[in-house]
This record gives sequence, C-alpha cells and structure tokens, in this order.
Amino acid sequence: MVDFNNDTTITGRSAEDILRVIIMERRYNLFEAIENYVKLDSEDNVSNREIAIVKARANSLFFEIEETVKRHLEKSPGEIGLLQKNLESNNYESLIKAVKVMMTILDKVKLTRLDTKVPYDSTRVTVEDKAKGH
Amino acid sequence: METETPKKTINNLPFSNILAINLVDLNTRVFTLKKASLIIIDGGLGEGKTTLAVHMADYINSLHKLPEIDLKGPQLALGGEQFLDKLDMCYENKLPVIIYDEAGDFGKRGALTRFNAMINRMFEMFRAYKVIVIMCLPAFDVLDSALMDKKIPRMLLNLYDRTINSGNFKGFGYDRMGWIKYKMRNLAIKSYAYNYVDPNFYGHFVDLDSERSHKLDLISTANKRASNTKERIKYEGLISRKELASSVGRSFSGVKHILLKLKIEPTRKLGRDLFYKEEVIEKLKDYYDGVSS
Repeated sequence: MVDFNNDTTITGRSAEDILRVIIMERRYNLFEAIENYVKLDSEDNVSNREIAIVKARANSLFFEIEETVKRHLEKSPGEIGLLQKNLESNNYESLIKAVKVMMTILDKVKLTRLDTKVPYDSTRVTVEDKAKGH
Repeated sequence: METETPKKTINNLPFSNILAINLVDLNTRVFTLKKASLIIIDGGLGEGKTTLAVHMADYINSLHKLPEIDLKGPQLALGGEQFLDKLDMCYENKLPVIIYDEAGDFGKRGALTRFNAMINRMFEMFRAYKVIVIMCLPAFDVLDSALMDKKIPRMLLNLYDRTINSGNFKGFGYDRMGWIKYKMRNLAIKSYAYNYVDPNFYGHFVDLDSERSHKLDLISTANKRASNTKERIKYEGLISRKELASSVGRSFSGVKHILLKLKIEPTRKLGRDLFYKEEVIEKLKDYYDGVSS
C-alpha cells in the first residue's frame, strides 16, 4: 500500500506491483468502453460521447505506460509520433491502432502474456524433468 | 522341420515405442551425462514386472551392441543378496544394465530398512558404476525419501491389468513420481494414487518368447523355493552345522564327522547346507561327554 502523501510504501508491497494492478484496471476499463462503442455502433446509436470515452481511457492507459512505450519504441521515433497522433484522433479505427500498439508492448513486458511456459514433449520423462528443473 | 516360436512384437519391439524413446533418453543420461538413473517397475503379483524388465534390459543392451541378457548371468539379480555382487560383476564386465527383482525380499521383518540402507549406500557411489538399474518392486512407495531427494529414480512404470496376450503400463517421470508418493501418504489404498496423477505416457508389452519365459519361470521359482526353505528353517527353529559346532564348542569338521558317525539325518537341506533340530545339540553333548569319560 502506498501512502500518496509522502511516497512511502506502508506494508512493504512494491510500487511496481501496485502500478501493474492499476494498468490492468485501466486496460479493463478501456475494453469496456470499446465494447460499449461497438455495441451502440451496431445499433446505429453511437454518439460523440462513446468515442470520447474510448479516447479518454486510451489516453489514460498511455499516460501510465508512456515511459515504457518510449523505451520500447526508442529506435522507431516515427512509431511514437504515429501512436500519439492516433491517440489524439476522434476516429475509432485510429484509436484502435493506438490501442493495439500499447497491447503489444504490454505483452512484451509480460504483463498480459499467457504463454510463458516453454513447450516441451511431456511423453519424454527426462525432457519434462529437465524443464521442471530436476 | 522344427521352427522357432516367433516373438510377438509391437512394431518390431516387445513394448510400445514411447518406452523405447524414454530408454534412449535415460541411456544418454547415464552414459553421456554420467548421472545416476534408476528405473522402477511396480505393480501387483503376476503383472509381468520381471518380463518387462527383461525386455528393457535386452533393449538397453542392444543400444550398446550387446546381445540379450543371460538370465543366469550377472544382469539379473533375484533378491538383495545377489544384487550387490552382480552389480560389481556388471561394472567389471562393462555391462550397461542390471535388473534387481525384489523376489519376496520385503516379506521379512526389518527387510525394508535393510533394503533402503543398502540402496542408499549403493547409490552414493553410483556414478562410478555407470549401470542403469531396473528395480522390480511390489509398490513404489517402499523406497524412502532419501532416494527421491537425491533425484535418483528417473522413471516409474506402473503395471496393471495384464491379459494373456499383453501387459499394460503407465509411465511417470521424477516430478510426477513425487506427486504420487505425496498422494499415497493420505490414501488407505495406496494404489489409488496412480489415478490422481496423469502419467507421462501409456504403453503395452508382450510376453517373452516361450523358451525364455519358461527359463525365467524356472529361475524365479528356484529362487523363491530357496527363499521359502530359508523361511521354513527359521520358522521351525532348525540350526546349521556351524551353529551346532558353536553350541558344543567343537570344530565344524569334527561335528560334521560325528553327525555322519551317529547317522543323524538332517531335517532340511538348502544347497550344500544341512539343518538339524535343536535336540541334536543334546545328542552331540552326550556323545562328547561319553568320549571324554
């Protein structure tokens, strides 16, 4: 737990762990906004409000991971520019492009990666035991 | 014209190919990586443990361009008494595999403790031997934790539901063996533990050819009969000639001569050893008292 008044961690949990949870929460909220937009769009009932919510949540997520994104796209300054331009757009497709770039980076830093285990042939006992450190 | 009985095979092997693949891996572990490897075969009586062990030993021999194992030779040890001697013989003759068939060792009191102590001692210097050990046991959990802690057992084959034509096995690696052993602690019927852990692989095996199968039966039966005779000797309280000599304070050869002279017949014979009832001690004492007076 972080005491926001004086920057110290109170119970010993690292700030990194807290941040990861916050990022996942923002990601969840962003997906919720996208779902809502797509649902209303299918009903021809979408207004500027829905796209504004998607844009706002995409930008909040970007602010959380901005430095990480910049480090990962350090060698491609053009991509950073394109990402920021897409985040400023009110166009749904442009915003989705930006979201996809951010999701790729979250996967690279293993925050959202599922397939973390090395695949091995479990019918060979020596291979499995080696993979498990025996 | 006489024809040989053809061996029944599965894809030119007497067992499923997946077992062959795993044996090759274990062979590499022992002879290339120079690490100890113990293969355990367990299952109820008559499930084919010794048969499968012989098949596996033949296969490992073939990987080293050696012929099938000699059932009377150093690569098949029936019981703990034979095992250590034959292990030395395998080492001296550069034989890559030995089978330890428990052969009723665990029926005796204190046997389990002695067995585990022997196995632990043996495996302390195991790397020097470069021999794959295949161990046939009634139940895998007789091995104590020290062996598991040293990561020596590398594969467990649990046999089940043998039919006239073939036997069946489930194969487990070290990691899954650990879970089986853990599960066995809390189960009234320990064999149920095998149903709680998914095997790494399943397989089948066929019988040995009839000549070899018969030979193995004879060897195994002879060994079990000898073991039974020993048990009967203990149960009946019979004593050996050496013990007789010690009881009357005379030499072994002297007592042997007197027993023949007095025409005292032994109650049981075990190989060249003769065993007598305890009352023979009194007869010998009377004889020696008569001679001295």
